[in-house]
Amino acid sequence: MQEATFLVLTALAAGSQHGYGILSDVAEISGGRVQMRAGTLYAALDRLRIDGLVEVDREEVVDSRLRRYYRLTPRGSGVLAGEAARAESNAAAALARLRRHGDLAGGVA
Amino acid sequence: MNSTAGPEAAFRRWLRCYPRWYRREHEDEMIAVLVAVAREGSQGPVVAQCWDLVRSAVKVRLRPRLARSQRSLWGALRLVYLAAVVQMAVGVTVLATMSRLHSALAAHDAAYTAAQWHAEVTGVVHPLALECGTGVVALLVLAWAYGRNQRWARLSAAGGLAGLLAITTDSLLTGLRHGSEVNARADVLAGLLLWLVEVAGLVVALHANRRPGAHHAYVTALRTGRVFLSGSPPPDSLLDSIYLQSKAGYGRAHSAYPGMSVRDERDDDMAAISDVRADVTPDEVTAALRAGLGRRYHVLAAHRIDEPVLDPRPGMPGTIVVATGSDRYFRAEVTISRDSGRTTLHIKPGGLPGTWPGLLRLINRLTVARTIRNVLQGATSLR
Repeated sequence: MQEATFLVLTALAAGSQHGYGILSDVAEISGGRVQMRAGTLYAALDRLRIDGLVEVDREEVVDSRLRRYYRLTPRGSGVLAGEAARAESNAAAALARLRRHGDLAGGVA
Repeated sequence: MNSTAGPEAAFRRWLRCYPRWYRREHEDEMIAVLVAVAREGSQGPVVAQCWDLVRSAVKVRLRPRLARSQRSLWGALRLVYLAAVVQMAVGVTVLATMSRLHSALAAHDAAYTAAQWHAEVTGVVHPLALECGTGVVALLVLAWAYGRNQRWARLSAAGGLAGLLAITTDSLLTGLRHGSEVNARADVLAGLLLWLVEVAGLVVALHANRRPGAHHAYVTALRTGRVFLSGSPPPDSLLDSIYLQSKAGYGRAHSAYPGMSVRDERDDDMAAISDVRADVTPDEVTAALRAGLGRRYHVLAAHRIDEPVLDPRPGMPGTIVVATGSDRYFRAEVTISRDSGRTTLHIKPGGLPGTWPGLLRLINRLTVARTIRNVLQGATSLR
């Protein structure tokens, strides 16, 4: 799964959000590292909708601008949970090995 | 304020890169996001946003609109891409080995003239390369159409492939007939490869015809609200196809889902006649069918076909079965439906789809169902 997709799903995991909300949330989750632009966001949402991971929650008009709120489908939550678990176990394995390697290097030196 | 009117106009201009159906669905919300981001100014110049729009629009236009879970469709799509690559490789090889072909021919035949070579190039090499190029384009169009269920594009790509296949078959047979005198073995092998690729492409193109057609019917049903509900949820693959197809109607498709299965009676609707009076009764339709079809056909009012199809069943007031033969062999079914003040007559040919009785359905579609359609279209008593 691409990082952008993962971040969009993560942004929606806490509840439904509209486009601008997702963009700010993605920036926040990634610690400002990922500055997603609107075109990329909507391409990701389009793909996620085709895959049935995300759906439209509701629409509002604020200051005569349309806000469409998106939410995770049950399937989207499942996929995100699976992906997060996979990333977590990979990261844990990487850190464990680095630590062991670090100990080893420390011992030799 | 002028500062927002400027970027908004620019955004709207660049949003035109997207397909129209996409803009209809997303333009307003995207403008809202773009304007909010531009006002905040945290993401750099408007130009960067616009460039991102162009890139994303290209993706939306080209990327297959298949769900990840539709594995078999993705597999078929990869096959088409592979075929395009092989086709291109064959074309490039043909052009790249021209000089070798020339020296081989010259070595084979000492009296080989420049005029003969010229004829070989214009008569064989160039058409072959052109054919490969056309094949690549046809396959790419096919892949694109396959990925988004464009029936017309898929059929025209299939037509193009069929034409190519005919040409390749012809030149391959010519090559085999003349044997090694005229053609190097590599040429024949390349031709054979080309032929196989074209056959594969054609099979994919025609195979794709069935399922997406049925999916399309489901979605049309969702769009028009003609959805038949029963107990169990539909399989995931079906839902994916609904997401895939409905584009703008996605939300509705999904909200129709929880706890219900989706079945569309129009799956095999070959014709829907909707220019009849709104208050037309089953009796009137039955009378029109009896008058128009003649004595060969049995018109069974208030019957319907259950699946499996061979046994008409009484008790459906809005459905009329047309049968033939002494055992009243079922040939087609006419259903009367009323939708928000409009009355529509649906004609459904008999015979199960899929397995060999599918052939029966095809025959019924082309014969009885067509006759029924003509009768109903011409019946003045229903207007």
